Amino acid sequence: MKYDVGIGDGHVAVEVIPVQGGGYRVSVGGGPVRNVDARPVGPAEWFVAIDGTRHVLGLFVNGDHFDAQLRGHAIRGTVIDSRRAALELHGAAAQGEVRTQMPGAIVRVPVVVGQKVHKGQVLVVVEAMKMENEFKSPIDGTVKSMPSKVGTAVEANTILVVVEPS
Amino acid sequence: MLVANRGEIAARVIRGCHERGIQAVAVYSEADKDALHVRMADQAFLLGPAASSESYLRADKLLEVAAKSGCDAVHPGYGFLSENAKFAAQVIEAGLVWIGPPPSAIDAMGSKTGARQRMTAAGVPCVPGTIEALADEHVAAQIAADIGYPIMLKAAAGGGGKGMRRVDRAEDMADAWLATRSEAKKSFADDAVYVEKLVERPRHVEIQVLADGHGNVVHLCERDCSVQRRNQKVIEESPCPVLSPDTRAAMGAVAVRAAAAVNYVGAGTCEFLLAEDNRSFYFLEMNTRLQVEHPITEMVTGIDLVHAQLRVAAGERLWFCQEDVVQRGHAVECRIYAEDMAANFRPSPGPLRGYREPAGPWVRVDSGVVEGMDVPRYYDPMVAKLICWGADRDAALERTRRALKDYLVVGIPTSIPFFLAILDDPDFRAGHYSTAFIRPEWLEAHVRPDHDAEEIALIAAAIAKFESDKKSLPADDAVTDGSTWKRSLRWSERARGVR
Repeated sequence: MKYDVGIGDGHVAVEVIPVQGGGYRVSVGGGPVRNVDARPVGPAEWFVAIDGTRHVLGLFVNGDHFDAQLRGHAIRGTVIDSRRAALELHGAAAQGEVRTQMPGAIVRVPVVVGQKVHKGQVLVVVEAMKMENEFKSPIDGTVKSMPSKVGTAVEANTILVVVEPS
Repeated sequence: MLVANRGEIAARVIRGCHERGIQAVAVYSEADKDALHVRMADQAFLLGPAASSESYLRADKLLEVAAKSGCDAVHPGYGFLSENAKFAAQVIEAGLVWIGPPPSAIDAMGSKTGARQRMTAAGVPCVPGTIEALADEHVAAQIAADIGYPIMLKAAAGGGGKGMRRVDRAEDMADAWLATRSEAKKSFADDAVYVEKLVERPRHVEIQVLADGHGNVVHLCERDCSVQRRNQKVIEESPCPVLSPDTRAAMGAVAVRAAAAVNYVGAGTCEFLLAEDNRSFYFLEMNTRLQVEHPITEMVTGIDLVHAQLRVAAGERLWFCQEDVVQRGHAVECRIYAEDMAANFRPSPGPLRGYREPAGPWVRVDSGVVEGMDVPRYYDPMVAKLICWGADRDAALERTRRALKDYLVVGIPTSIPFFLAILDDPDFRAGHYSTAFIRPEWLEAHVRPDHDAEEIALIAAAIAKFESDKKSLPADDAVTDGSTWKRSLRWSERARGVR
């Protein structure tokens, strides 16, 4: 199986082939094949040995999203079946989606539907833990839809604004 | 004992109560109903909705809980109502013991300008500037010209890094004046502002004091809290790596004088700026409560400050004198914030999918969370404190590094990588730092992804996803060969359906 794994702005294809009798053969970004042994050791912890080098990392996969932690670094990303990724998630629409990273409350929405916006322009301001966080447009374009309303609470990974590329 | 707080400090105080055979009554908001402090307490009462203003800040409800649960005393923790003289007075009027200084001492130290007046009169050195709230920006500009730029404009009722602004030039005064006043008004409902000389690249060093109700005041040495971000402390250590014994003694004596000047009782902290010469120091303010970073003092002095608060509040005389206080070894505290350092320290509330605290000798974690809990978005992002002791500074720092790497937190980003970066910094390791240590350039250079860790994580994530997809597919669907494509499509439709 091939997966499209996204961390930050980057995406890479990861191919996972199970090996009879245990373990996997894994190739990252078409690179060399690695022999991997992996198993969960807790509700959010995995043991992983890559070509014999062992690691224990925090890992929780929730739908298409994963949260990992290794050597103190928190790593957040998406992991999606590559064919599905090609079908749904890498269209132009996804580029202009602005989503919350954390739960919070919408305190300001300085744009309206139909408005032309430029990359980096503040679209929505969400308050969480007494801090205001600005969500900016990832692209130049036009505000296509805006489900966010001032005063409403939003969960993490909620679409706040969709910007159509110009 | 009513513990009028939440999070790690509520848990900390409840532990102290239980160790002294005192039953603890917790309070909680709707967002905290499963919180650790609620689980630990002997009784727990709902205050109201999640917002602090409807729960932890409701003095009336807290007093009601104290009365109906039969409490004898109230511990306010830090934050919330801990420095609210009116609440302290209400507690005392209700016939309860207030675990803190008398309301008059809170009042005296509560207004920064008022405190400056009292301290100047008591011979405590303060930063040059005004001691009164200023009428307008012209007066502010006049005083700034007299003491010399750069200066700080500060809200008289301010604290926690809010309501202060640096001004470098006379022409910036008018804008800064307006901005500081409006922030002061918004944050503290009081727009009184004063001017202070800016001490460049100072260290923030504070002295822990402890006073009984019989006129005895001692200090428990210092904590260096210079490493700050957005004027908020992130890492603290004791002793301060650059403080000479003479300066420590002088600063301690001044702190004792400051506490005595307001007839202080209980545990309190005098904050000072230590100038670049590592000798001149200026009184900043006194925090009339237990401090977040109190554990490092406990680690180096062996004195449990919560126990001490309870004993002093019960009327006991101090059971030791200044000469008995020794700093043994070195202690470091890291404040574990639910913040994403890779996204400009954006708060990161959310579910703790995995959570395991580090352990081992001389490793202490004061936390308010457990695995599976949701870190609520309504409160301060600090979820825990990691405190490590070592025979010397290097040992303490190495133990801290090891413990940070052992700390499992899955589900939300935290400040752990930030601390690892600080521990790797040669200037920090040498003790050469000031409150200006964490600069944008520093963050730029140190906040970078660990690509090796990312590669391991993405391999593991792909395998975990593969295994979970395999499990969720019914057996009759798990056909191979030509139909893989179709299967995947059907799977995605199903997945969409449940979302």
